[in-house]
Formats: sequence, structure tokens, C-alpha cells
Amino acid sequence: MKNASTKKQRKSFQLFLYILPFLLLVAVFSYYPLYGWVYAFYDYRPPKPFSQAEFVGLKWFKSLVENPVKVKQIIQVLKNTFAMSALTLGTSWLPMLFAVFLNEIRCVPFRKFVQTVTTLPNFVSWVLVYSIAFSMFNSTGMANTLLMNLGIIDEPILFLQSTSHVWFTQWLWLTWKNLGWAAIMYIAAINGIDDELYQAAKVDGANRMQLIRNITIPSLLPTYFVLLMINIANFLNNGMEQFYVFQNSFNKEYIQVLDLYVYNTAMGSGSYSVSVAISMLKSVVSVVLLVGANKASKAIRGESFI
Amino acid sequence: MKKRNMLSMAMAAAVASTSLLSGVASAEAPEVNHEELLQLEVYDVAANFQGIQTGWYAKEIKDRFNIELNIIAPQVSGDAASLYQTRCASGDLGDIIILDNADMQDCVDVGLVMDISADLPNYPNIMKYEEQINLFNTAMNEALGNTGTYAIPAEMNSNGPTEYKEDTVASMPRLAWDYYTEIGAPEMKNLDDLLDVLRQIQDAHPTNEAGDNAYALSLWPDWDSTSIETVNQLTKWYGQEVNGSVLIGVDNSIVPLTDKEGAYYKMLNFFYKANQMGLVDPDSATQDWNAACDKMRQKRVHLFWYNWQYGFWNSPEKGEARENYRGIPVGDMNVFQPSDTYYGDGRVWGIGSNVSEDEKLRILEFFDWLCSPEGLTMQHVGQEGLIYTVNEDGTYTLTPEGMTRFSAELQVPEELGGGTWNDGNNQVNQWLVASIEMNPETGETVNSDYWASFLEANDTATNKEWSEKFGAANEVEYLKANGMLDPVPSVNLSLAIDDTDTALIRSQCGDLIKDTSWKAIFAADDAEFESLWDEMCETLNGLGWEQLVEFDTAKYQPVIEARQAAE
Repeated sequence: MKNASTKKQRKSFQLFLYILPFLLLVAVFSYYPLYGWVYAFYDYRPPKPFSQAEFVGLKWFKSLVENPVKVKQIIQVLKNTFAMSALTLGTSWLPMLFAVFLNEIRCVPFRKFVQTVTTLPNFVSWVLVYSIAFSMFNSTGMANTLLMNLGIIDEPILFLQSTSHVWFTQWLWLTWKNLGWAAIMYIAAINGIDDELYQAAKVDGANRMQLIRNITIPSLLPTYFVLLMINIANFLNNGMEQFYVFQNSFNKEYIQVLDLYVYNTAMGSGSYSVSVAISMLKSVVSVVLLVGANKASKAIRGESFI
Repeated sequence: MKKRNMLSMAMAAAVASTSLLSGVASAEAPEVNHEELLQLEVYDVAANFQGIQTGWYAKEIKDRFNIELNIIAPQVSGDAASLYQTRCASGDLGDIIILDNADMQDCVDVGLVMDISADLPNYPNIMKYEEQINLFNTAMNEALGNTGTYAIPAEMNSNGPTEYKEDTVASMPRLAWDYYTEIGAPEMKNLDDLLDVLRQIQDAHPTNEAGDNAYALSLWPDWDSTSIETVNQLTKWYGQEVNGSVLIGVDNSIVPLTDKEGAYYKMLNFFYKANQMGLVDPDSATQDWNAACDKMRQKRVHLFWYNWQYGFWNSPEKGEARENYRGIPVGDMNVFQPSDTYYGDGRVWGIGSNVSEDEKLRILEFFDWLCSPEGLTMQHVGQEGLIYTVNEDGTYTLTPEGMTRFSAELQVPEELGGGTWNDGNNQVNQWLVASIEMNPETGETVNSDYWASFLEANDTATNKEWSEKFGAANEVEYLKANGMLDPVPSVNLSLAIDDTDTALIRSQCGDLIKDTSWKAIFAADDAEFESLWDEMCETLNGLGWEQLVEFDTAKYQPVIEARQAAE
């Protein structure tokens, strides 16, 4: 009896050794960096070593909201962040739908072509996307030249300088870039659906729309919700590159999201401590959002993800 | 500390010659052994190239000193701040360290830079600049409570602290000579006249020859710092220079940038008026520097302001065809122009604290050569025979290859180092002594642009007509003769660095000023322009603007005092 127990223990220990490298990796790359948060409570300025930095407590957290002008700025920034994230979240079913319809195309070469063309923009960097946007929408770009030649406008429209519909146009750019890429996960999920389900439904006389509504989409929902959860946790991380390249003095009021704000104010002035303070706040909010979403999912669907 | 700093400035000039490096300049440089190849790491904020120096310049210094330069370029590394931070943290920034003044002061403070005061007197070519070196180090030591000599300013010269030997000023209006004469070369008394001239030119030439739209003014936003860089450059036409949150005047005044009587407001208003007249490229706020460059190369921009913008268009052939851009004065201008960088240009060289005694001596020997007439000609011009030839009277003449060495892909013969000339050019991109220095061997500047032989070759129709109309050889001569230019003495000090609070305020205020300035240029009418400006001033106060102005006023006080002392 005793012998069996030690054998089991040894076996467990062996299994533990298998995962140890991965635990170490997570510890080194995910938990150890959290030590960097300590910078938020000091006034750190290179090249002075950190050991000589002065402890300032919560100063940098307070400085974000120390007067009405800054509070107003932060509120506007949060508004932009939430609005653009909400737009993205609210339309996160688009790639799923796109995948479903793509899958319905019977002509395989055409389907592959569409998929490739829509996936490619994902690999184009935002800097290049902006230069494409600039050559299309500047005062002598394709859009203005076309409209002027058609006699619709007399004066060029300064699209990139426009302050209206900034959230929407930015969402369009993001969708153009990401749609095909985001659909890949769903295409894989569709391929994993048991073919027998379809055959059975067809025997029962279901048409194509009914197959989609009753089999494909319900089978995709778990994938959809997992991705949604991940997106919610990333609610505040709506990226920086896109907004950084598209920002100018005219649209900044509406385009400045949290990450860009951190970059513009803190990194722009080399204030590491302040940027750490803001990113700490972000992490806290993200955890809260994730736990909240998980709770909601449990209440609504009876399933949780973490 | 502020007060001490000011005091030190005044004293430093007086005691310079007797202080740190006192008087053993006659000693011989110690013998060093060149047998072993020495690879030096050069931490260089000015470099646009990272890696080992190759080509003809590498060969010249290897033959002389058996030295190889491994250039560490934060500008190229992708993340300059973290490279600097990591290398500082490791305690070894480099063997040769080239930094901005303020950063150097930080690095000296934490012990990354070596004290070379005992060695410098052995190097006669460096000791020519003893006064400049002492002045900088005394002020830095005052601030840090240190002693010793750590840094050698870059771009020094020995022409005198108030001398201005260039033939162009940094910023003034510059127009294409054929277009300007075509509308009758009208005299311009003020900015309104300039706008009128620009309007006439743009009306006559709404496109370039290829049919692309041309505008009087084309701006680019990517150089903006805490205010629009182009506006900053144009404030120099009216006697003020933007430095952070304040305007420093030729009259040694300091006023806030937001002063409505100041040149920033005046020039912002100039751009607004120009836009009202349709003279501003509509893409100004969204195009990048490269797009703007292309337009300048294609003659789609009628007004230049920087002197180096000439390089986008001017050439001897176009000059002969009367098409070159030339500086055209506006009557009420009062150009802000610092004199040649006698005391240095704001960057400094140092030797890392980790180098061995032997290495230190070899580096100093190398520095001494960099300051010698031979080394200067090598760095600023090139090799004898290939780039220039020596005339009978001892002066130099550029060879045809030398004339086009920057623009043409000149192949260097294998025995001189091989490769293309530009690839093999000095990639350190920073010089201890400026090219405007006089070469004692020729009696001319080191810079080939001012050699008699070069000026003769470049005397084009544009230049002749210009000189005839304005009665002067060049724009500097004209501006000086007409009381529009009185160069302020160039000073080189290590100024106060922003603490974290100030840096934050600066970046937030800067964002607001930039954004408002751009909106103001494109404002619909006078009322909107005014209200944007007033609103900006009000919001700035909420962000701590007054504190920032106070900080900058104190920061630049030593500059004012040094200028007053030099005048």
C-alpha cells in the first residue's frame, strides 16, 4: 500500500517536471515584469540608476486628475477609448458572418481568392496603411480627383483632417485590415463541425439558410464567446499604431485613445514613471472587465471561461 | 544653484585660461604603441549609421592609428531611450561618448565619463580650444560640485565668439529668382508685401511644369516639438527664437511664447492670412517630411526659408538659367542668427570611464588628429588627389569628383579604401571642430564651399543679377549692411534639465499649442483665429503653463548672461 503511494507520488512529480519549464516561462515573462510596477511610485529618470530615484508615493496617479483641465482631457480620452472599443465589440460578429458566407461559396478557387485578398491587409503595417490613405485621400488624391472630375465638388475635401465621424472611419480602417484575418478562426471552427449534422438536416429537408441558422451559427457560438471574452479583457487596449499614424491636430480630440494618450504625454516627455502608473490602472480595469464578463457569461449562458 | 550657475558663467570666461588645464601646453604627447588593433565603441547620438565604419575614412584612421570605430547609434536602433537607459545601467556607455550637453552632465554625475584634465595639455591641436573646453567644464562642475575636465564641445572654432562667417542665414524668405524677377522683383516692406508677392507668383505658376499643383507655402507637421516647427523657424525673421515655452530675443529679452506682441503669434497670423489667400498647401497638416521634400524637389513650393532647402533645387546649371532660389529681404525684418559655434553646438564628446590607460592615450591621440588641419580637411572635405588638389599658392581646388561627391555615387579607388564615397564618409556625423574653422595651411576655411576656387566656379547668372540688384555679394552682407542682422553670440552651456513634473507639463502644453496652432492656420475667419488663441492661453494656464514659463525663463537666463558678457 505504502509502496503504491510513493510510486504514485513519484509519477506525479515526474508529470510536474514536464510542466515545470512552462511554469517557469510564465513566471519569468508574465509575473516577473510585474515587478516593474514599482517604478510608478518613484521619480525615475535615466541615466540615474533606479536605486537613486526618489520615492513619491501616489503622486503620478494623482497628477492625472489634479485639475479640471486634465480631468476633462482624461474623460475625453476614455470616451474615445470606450466608443471605439464598443464599436469593435459591437461588430465582432462580422468576421463570424463573413466566415459563414465565405464557406457557402461553392467555387473553391474564387473562395480562396476572396479569403487571401481579405487576409492580406492584416500583414500591412499601419504606417503603410496611412500612406495608402494619404495617397487616396489627400487634396490631389484619387478620391478628390474623381469627385472633382465628376463635378460633384469644386474644392478638394480634406478627408484626413476631418473632425466628423472619426470613430466610425477609424473603425472602417480597422475592419478593412482585420476582417479576413479574424475570420480564419471561424473558418477553422466551421471545418470542425460534424458533417453528419448537415446530412441529417438535409434529409429532414432543411434549406441552406436553415442549415446556417440552426447548425453552423450555433456551433460557432462557443468560439465566438471565447473571442469576445478575450476582446473584453482587451477593452482598453485598442492599440496605438493605428491612431498614432492617423492622428493630426484636427482629429486628435476624437482619436486620442488611452494608449496614444500615454504615448503622447508620458513617453513623449520621457516620464517612465507616469506611463507605468497609467498602464497599471489599465491592467486593473482589464482584470475587472474580464471577471465581470465571465460572471455575466455564467449567469446568461451557464458557462464560464476562466 | 541657479545663482551659482550664473556666477560661474561670468567668472568662467575670465579665468578660463588659468583654470583647469593650466599652462603646460608645450608638453609632448606621450608615445603610444599602435601594434594592436583597437576597436572603439562610439556611442553617438548624431550618427545615422550603426556598425563598424568602413570605406575610405576607415582606411585613413586605421593606417594612422590602427583604430576601428564601432558606432552605436541610438537614432538607428529603433528605441533610442531604452538603448541609452540599458547602456547607462550597465555602467558602460561606450569608449567614446557623444551626447547632448544636458545628458553629458547626467552621465558625468553618475560616473560614466572619464576625467581627462591631466592629459589634455599634452595635445596641442586640442589645446587650441582650451578656452572653450574650460568654459563648458567649469560651468558643468559648478552645477555638479565636481572638479576635472570631462567633455569636449563639438563644432568649436577659433574665429572668435561673435564671428559669423557663413554666407547665408539659417532662416529668411527665399524665392525662385526667375519667378521673382518675372513679376517685376517688387521691393517688400513687410509681411503683407511678401504675401502679395507670393500671391502673384502663385497666380502666375499655379502648377509646376509637370502640371502638379504648386503652392506658396507647404508645411509638414512631423518636426513639431512643443509648437509648430515651421512657425518657430519664421519667428527668427523678427528677432526672436523659440526655446520651449519662451521667446529669446536678439535684444536678450525673454518673453512667453504666448505673448501676443511676440513673433510666434505674428508668424502664426502670417500663415493664417496666407491660408485665407489660398497660398497654403491644403495637405500641410497631414503630409510627412518626405512628401514635402518631394514637392520642393519638383518646384511645387514657392517659398523656402531654411538655407539648406537650397539643396532641394539649386545647382550651378539652374543658377546659370536664373532658376535658383535666393534670399529676398523683407524691409522690416530683424533676423535672429547666432554666430558661428565658437563655444560648441550643444553636443559634447567624452571618454568612457571604463577605458584603460593605454586606450585613453590612443583615443586622445586620435582626438588630437581630429582637431588638426590635416584631420579637419579629411573629415570635412576628403582625401587629397581624389576630392581636392593643392594649387601652386597652397590653396585647394575641388576636383570634378569632389564637386559632386555628395550627390553622385562616386566610386573610391581600391587603394584609397574602395566602396562608394558616401558610404565610406565619416559616419560619426559629428565633429570636434566646425568646418568654418580657418585652415592655417591655406588661409581659407576648411569648408570647401568658401574656397575662392569654388566660389569662382559657382558664380552663376542668378548670383550676378542678385548681387547687382541688392548691391551685396551675398545675403549676409546685405542684411548686415541694412541693419537687419546682428548675430547674437553663440553660447554653449549645459542647461537645466526638466524634472519629471516639468517634462509632463511641457508635453501636455506642447500638444495643446501644436493642435491649436494648426487649427488657427486653417481657421475660417479672424474671429475664429482669435478665439482659438485666447482659448488656448486659458487652457494652458490650467495645465501649469506659468510654472513652465518660469522654469524656462530661469533655464535660459545663463544664456542671456553669457551673450551679454560676450557682446
